[in-house]
Amino acid sequence: MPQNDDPLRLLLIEDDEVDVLAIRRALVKLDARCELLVADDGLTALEMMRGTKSQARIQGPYVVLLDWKLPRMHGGEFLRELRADPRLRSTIVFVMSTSDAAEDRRLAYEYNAAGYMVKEGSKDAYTTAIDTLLKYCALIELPVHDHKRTSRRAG
Amino acid sequence: MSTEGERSPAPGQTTGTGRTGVGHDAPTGTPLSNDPTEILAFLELATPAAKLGYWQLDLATNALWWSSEVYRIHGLSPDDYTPDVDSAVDFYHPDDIASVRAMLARVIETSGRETFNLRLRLSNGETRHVRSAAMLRTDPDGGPGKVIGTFLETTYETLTSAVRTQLNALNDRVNLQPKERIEGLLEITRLIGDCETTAVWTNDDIDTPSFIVGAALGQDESVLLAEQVIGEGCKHQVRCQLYTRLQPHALNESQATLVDLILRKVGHDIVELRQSTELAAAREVLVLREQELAQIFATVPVPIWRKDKDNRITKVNPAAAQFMGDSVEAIESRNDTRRIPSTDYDYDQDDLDALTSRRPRLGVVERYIRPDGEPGWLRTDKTPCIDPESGETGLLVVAQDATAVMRTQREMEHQTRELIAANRNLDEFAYIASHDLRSPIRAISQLAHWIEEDNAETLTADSHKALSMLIRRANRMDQLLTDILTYARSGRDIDAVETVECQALVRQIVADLGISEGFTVSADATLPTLTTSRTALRHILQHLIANSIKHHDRDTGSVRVFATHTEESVIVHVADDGPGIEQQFQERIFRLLETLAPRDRVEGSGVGLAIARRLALALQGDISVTSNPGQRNTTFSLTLANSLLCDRSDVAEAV
Repeated sequence: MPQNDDPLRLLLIEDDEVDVLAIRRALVKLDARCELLVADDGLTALEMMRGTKSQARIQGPYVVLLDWKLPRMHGGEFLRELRADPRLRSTIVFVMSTSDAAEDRRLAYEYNAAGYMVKEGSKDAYTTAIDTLLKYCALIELPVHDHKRTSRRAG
Repeated sequence: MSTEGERSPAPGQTTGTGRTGVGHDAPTGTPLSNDPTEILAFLELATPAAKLGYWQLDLATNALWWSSEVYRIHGLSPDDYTPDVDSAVDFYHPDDIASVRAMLARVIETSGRETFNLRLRLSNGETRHVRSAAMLRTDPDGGPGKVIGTFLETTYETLTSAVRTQLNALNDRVNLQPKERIEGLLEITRLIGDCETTAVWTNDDIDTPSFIVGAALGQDESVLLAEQVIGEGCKHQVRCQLYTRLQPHALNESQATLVDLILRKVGHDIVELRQSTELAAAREVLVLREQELAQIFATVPVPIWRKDKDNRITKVNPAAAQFMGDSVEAIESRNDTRRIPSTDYDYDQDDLDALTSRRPRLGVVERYIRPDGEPGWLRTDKTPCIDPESGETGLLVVAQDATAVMRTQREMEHQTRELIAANRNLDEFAYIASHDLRSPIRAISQLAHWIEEDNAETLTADSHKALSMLIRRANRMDQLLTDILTYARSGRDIDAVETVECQALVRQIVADLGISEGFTVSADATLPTLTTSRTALRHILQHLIANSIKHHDRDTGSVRVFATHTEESVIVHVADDGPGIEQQFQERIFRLLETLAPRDRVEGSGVGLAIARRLALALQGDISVTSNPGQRNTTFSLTLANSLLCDRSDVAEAV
């Protein structure tokens, strides 16, 4: 169970509306206390995470759900950029991809993905995955993202 | 008359002449008595020591008397023979009898002294040379008197003298071939008497380095003295035996010494003969080799030419002349430096580099302009070498048009690049198929699910059915894409070969497939151990076994996996007791996306058997099917080469 009152924040990086909808439906079905933020590609996600380009910076803690095949900046490029950023490098990222290609998996884990899931066609696939993910996040302490989060916890 | 004769005192000689002779030779002041007794005593000592014999012929009675030395020289003893004038001459060599008689007559007639040589023929066949000095002693009473004489064996001196003379004569002959010298030396042995050394040249061609010197001889007449002597000088290729023909008795010491002397010379000459023979043979080989090389140089269809130290062409072969578009004579007389036209490569500078550095430049392939004016490629091999005529360093250049080779190589490189590009395209397609094509299908499926979920109450039964069919088609499309992708990738990356125990592999496949209850799959002990790609073999057998169960029409059934052998092949069979396949469909089932049952009855994209066959082909094998639907006996057979077997004794047992 969450250790504070803040709902878990999920940053979903996904360009397919149906997939976004599938996750929203899964969260509803699970009745999860979770705030879903959506970026439709890697660049937008980075802007949100850094608070650049007139985007409001996301307040932590949050976990990233990353689709692999994305316009402008695909999953691998996003991870490389993320791990190169001292302020963002510790972010927990789960990859959700339609591809089971060995090369993609290798690359994802090389950039320290917390997990690599292959999207399945069955109707309850997302529900099971999101349920497991939320339970995992409840069990662990998330990385410290910035001073604000620390002060919030202190307050 | 010889002085030796004068010095030989005769028995009983008391004349002043004898005294004078002795006194003349005696050292000054030696007191030699005139006492005849003393002189006799001296003679008794001297004659056996000098092996000097003496004899006496009484002209009155014609009685002949020999001293013991004379007997010895004749090879006789006084017990055997009493000499007399008539029979004594029989011991002489026939050629000498007349001259001895004449000599004796002259002594009697002139009362003088004579010295003469004669040859004795001993009863054992030996010949001895003798010198005898004779003089007449008149009878004071007026009788016919006596002839007295000395008898000295001179065999060794005579032979030595004769042999030396002949050897000198032989040495004086210039330009003698070794063979002629050997013949001459052997001829000289005949002078020695009692022996005849003969060379039989079994092969008269002295250029042949193997010959035998020998003679046909009776058993007792051969002497191996010669073989020993000559053998020392002829250790290697030449084996020669020189036989000396002898009279039945052995050579006496003096003869043996001379034969030995001559045979040593023969041995020396045989060595020389062998060396000259070998030299001649080697020279001939060299000449032949040179001819052969010249022949190759003239006829080889590869342009070869030589350059001198100043980088000028001095020699070309006909192929090179043709290559340079001129005649051999014209090119060799002009001493050109440049002969290979090229727009972007300096062949002559290259030649000069090789000449200066004295290091070969091999396999250089560069552009040039072909004799027909077209651009092409030329391969040159340049080797610095000594010019056999001038003795100076030059360069040997071998050139070959490499245009065809280079074109082929270029084409192959191009094709390889295209193949790599095609493979990359296939990879890209596979990636797109697995992601981009499947995403919308999954989305369709999910959306249909949601519609059904959200409107469960309001949808009509027909709508439910339609949505259900929509979802099923979408899922089938998804599966089809997966299978096509698997098919496209199959047969690649099967290079890794390992030892595969087929029986264990089948058991593992069965466990992984999760066979439904009621079905049994048996892995027979006949299944071999193969050296092949585990991945490929696993996929093939997995598809075949799954196929057998999937298309079975009953709730229970059995699949048997076993192996048989032919002379070239090992065949793995997957036999089931399912409904079977009609003859006309048996080849069709291996085609991609072919199915015999409606999709809605048996879910299948028709890719499994196509993949299995494709993999079998990639393993240099094949898959066939035999089926008799009435008998409920269908067998899929994977044929692989025997060479994949780990233990070939399987074949021996099974065939």
